[in-house]
Amino acid sequence: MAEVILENITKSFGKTEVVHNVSAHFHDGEFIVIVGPSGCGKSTVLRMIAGLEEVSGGNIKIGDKLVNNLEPKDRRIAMVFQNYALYPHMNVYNNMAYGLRLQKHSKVEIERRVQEAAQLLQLGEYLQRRPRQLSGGQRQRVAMGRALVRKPEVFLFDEPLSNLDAKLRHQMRVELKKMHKNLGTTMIYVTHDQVEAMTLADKIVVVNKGRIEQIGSPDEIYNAPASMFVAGFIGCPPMNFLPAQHSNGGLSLENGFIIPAKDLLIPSDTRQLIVGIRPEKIEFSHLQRESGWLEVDIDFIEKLGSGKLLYTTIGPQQLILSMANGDDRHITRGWIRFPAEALYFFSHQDGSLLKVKSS
Amino acid sequence: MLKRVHFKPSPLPYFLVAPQLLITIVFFLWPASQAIYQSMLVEDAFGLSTEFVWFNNFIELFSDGFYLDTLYRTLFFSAAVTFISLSSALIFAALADRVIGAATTYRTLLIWPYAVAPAVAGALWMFMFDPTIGIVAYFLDLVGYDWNHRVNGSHAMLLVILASSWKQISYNFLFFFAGMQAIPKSLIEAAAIDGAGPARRFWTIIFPLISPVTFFLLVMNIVYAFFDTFGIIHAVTKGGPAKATEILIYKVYNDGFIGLDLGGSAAQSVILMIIVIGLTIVQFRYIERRVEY
Repeated sequence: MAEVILENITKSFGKTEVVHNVSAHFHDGEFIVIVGPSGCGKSTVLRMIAGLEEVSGGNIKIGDKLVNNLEPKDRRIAMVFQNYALYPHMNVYNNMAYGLRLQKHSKVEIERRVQEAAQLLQLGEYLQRRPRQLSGGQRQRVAMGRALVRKPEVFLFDEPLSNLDAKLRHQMRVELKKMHKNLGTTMIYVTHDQVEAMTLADKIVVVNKGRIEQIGSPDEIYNAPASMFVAGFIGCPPMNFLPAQHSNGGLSLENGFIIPAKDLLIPSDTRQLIVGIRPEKIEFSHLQRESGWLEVDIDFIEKLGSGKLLYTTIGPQQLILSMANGDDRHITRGWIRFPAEALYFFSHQDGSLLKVKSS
Repeated sequence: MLKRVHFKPSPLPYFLVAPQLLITIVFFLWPASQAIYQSMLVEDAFGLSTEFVWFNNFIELFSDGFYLDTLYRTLFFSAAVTFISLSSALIFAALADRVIGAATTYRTLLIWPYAVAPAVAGALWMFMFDPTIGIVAYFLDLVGYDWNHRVNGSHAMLLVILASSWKQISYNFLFFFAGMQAIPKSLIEAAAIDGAGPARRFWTIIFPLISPVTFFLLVMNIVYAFFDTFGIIHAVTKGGPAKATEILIYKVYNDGFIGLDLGGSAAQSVILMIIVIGLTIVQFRYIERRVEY
């Protein structure tokens, strides 16, 4: 078990720098999820920790050891790949035993560890099978088993669930979380799926264009996003963004509607800003309301089973409302309100969060 | 569910396969049957009369010490050529697989020998090793080794083996290289994390995974050594000295066109035909079965 420290990591391929100055401190036993859109450099960061890519600048420490120039095998890590990377010509047992044999463990020890992992992952009856005779979920388990038997200090996962179907993905997610609870080993997990990030992580690292946008617990990331990017990336459906301007007594939207803001302190030093609100925080009523409520047409409704999403537009901007079930009437119009305490304010220029003065 | 599209019967498919059938008949079935027929004939020295002798030509061949010598020589030659060209190509491909910088240049250079005609390749090696003017012979002489493939049978054999192998390395390299490129990179990375160094990764991961390619090339190289090396041998040694480099295919030519023993030569070519048919069957029968993983 070990902590992982990244100090000003950069990575360049030729002249293009793809990871800029990434620093982070991951504590021992934490489940870290690095999340970001595809091509943001999150996998590159993971591969640098694994030693599969050289770092162009900065330091990586695992435990208290500087590992920049260590071979992958000497870093006491194990990695699970997106395509599982099982050795197709070896059976499940040998896939798991391969690394142990190279570490020169005794036959008895290898047998013990493989059986232990097989039992934990319910692979007992498949030990003699080749990878191609297994289903996607089973292959996934073998890949985990291969990482597990090494008893590493850090587990690295590179989008391990993205090749599974939705149901299996959920199941494996739960198992992974359990595994982490039992082992207590540091795990670093890369994904583009914000649901996986929210459900698995002790600490989320949101990466965009090779930079860390925010590091924090899932609650912090969700409730106090540091930028428009984080706010829009985490949460499903994503946060709504509406350009607005200061005006007398509130914030005026593009269609002229004024969000009353007498009692809320809005960032006063900027005239132009962007207002964000989560879909589930918008209040909706199909009864006519008066001041402070905006009348909107509902374009269409997406039913999710447990709830529904209403789509509407304000000026050119699409707005999504998330609602619980209940009223099954066909809704075509209604009145909405933006509760002042649920609003976020972002800079018009760079999307960074604007602080409200009083808080 | 229908597995294939059904059309009304039409003569069109027969027209479409007709050219291929025609080529097979004119250039393979007809000459092959002629060869089989010829292999049962004996002609007198002046070509005035022929006699049908059934399998006498074959019986004579297998009781002929020279023929059996040639057969063993061919086996040795093929084994040597196959081993050298496969193993060097494997090494080159493994190295090229790790090259990132000038990969294209390196690959192109390695492929060139394949574009050289056998006779030209033979001439090239002959000049290099020529006992009087050859550069290699000159250097060998400097270190005190007397090279002369014109009188020394072992030298001659070594030379044609080298020349024939050199010619085939490019072909093998291409296949090995393609096979290695097809292995997912993450497999190699997983092995690296598991603690395998480059050499062990090669023998425990890469080599087993390209075994279908290896098997295919093994058969192709044996066929090459048996049949396609005629040009090189003809250019370099003409089968000599004293038949030291005469392999089966060269003996067919020698006995038939130089010795004018048409019946015996035809019988030899029929035997070669049987060998190549056998190799092809092995290829088709086992290539998909044995090397599965």
